Amino acid sequence: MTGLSGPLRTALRWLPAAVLAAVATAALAQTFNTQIYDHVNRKWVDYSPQAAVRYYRMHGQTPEEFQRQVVPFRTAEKPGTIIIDGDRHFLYLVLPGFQAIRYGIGVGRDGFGWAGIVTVGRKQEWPVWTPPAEMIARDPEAAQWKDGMPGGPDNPLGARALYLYVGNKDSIYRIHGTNQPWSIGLNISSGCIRMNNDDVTDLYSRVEVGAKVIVLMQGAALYKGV
Amino acid sequence: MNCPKSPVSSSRVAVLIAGLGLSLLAGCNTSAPVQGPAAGAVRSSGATAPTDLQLLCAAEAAEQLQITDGNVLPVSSGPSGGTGYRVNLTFEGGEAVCVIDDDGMVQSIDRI
Repeated sequence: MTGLSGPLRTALRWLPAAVLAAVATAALAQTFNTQIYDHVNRKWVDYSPQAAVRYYRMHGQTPEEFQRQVVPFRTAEKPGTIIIDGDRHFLYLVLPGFQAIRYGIGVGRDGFGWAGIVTVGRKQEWPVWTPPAEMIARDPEAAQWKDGMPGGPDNPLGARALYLYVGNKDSIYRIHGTNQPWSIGLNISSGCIRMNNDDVTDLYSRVEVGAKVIVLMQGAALYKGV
Repeated sequence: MNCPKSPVSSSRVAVLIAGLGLSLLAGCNTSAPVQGPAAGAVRSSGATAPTDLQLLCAAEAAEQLQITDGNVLPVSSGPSGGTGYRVNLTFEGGEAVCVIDDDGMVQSIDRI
């Protein structure tokens, strides 16, 4: 990671170390959101959190395109590589034969998106969720879990977590399940990639520790790794 | 419709009006229905290159520019020309621009 000047590092010391390099190279974010087609009024409208909740309550699932499916995928990346397209809210697991499994995802909200090349450092089933210090600082409700929230259906990390590393260092970012399945397709998290629990369980069973993860997100802060 | 200059029977006018109405309805029925996306279809609010095309650009740039660690990252993209895309790439020590067509054929890689 590129180092920062002393005064800048001092000014930003309240940020976790893993984010400092990303801030140093941050570009003006150009956040792309999801739109959904309103067939009654024949126009595209914002797929807001409110619209997402309504859709999920009506259909019992997120829109069809966010459902897990095998798609054509032309790439030189080897099978088992994870590609995250934050702009389109898809995660791809590369398969042989120029195909990939495509999953719908939720990504970081404004100012929390990131891009880079990292690896899966470790995996965990029904993980414990411990909010980072800066989350506790900005969200007092998270303080009650400062010693860790046990894994389970109410845990924000959901059924599985894939911890993303740079070398041997935890990046603080995860691919994880969720207790808010309606949020798939939204820019809503603190930077982690969220999937519904069925999808993350499926992905977890297919991915090995050490797998390469490429995160694409236009205009987001660059987290340079690997 | 011009008003008749000479008196016409009311029944004849009724037939004319009915015929005109049927003609209009027939015209409506034969016009093609408006096609649009399926209900509940989703899309991104921004236009970026397809994910796999971005990666093809990165792989081609790594080879052409001899990026030893192979870590070339697409950072932005958009439509270019009629059926192609422009993909901006970053790597240790530099940046490049790739133009790729919809078939996945890289048209150019230029270091910037």
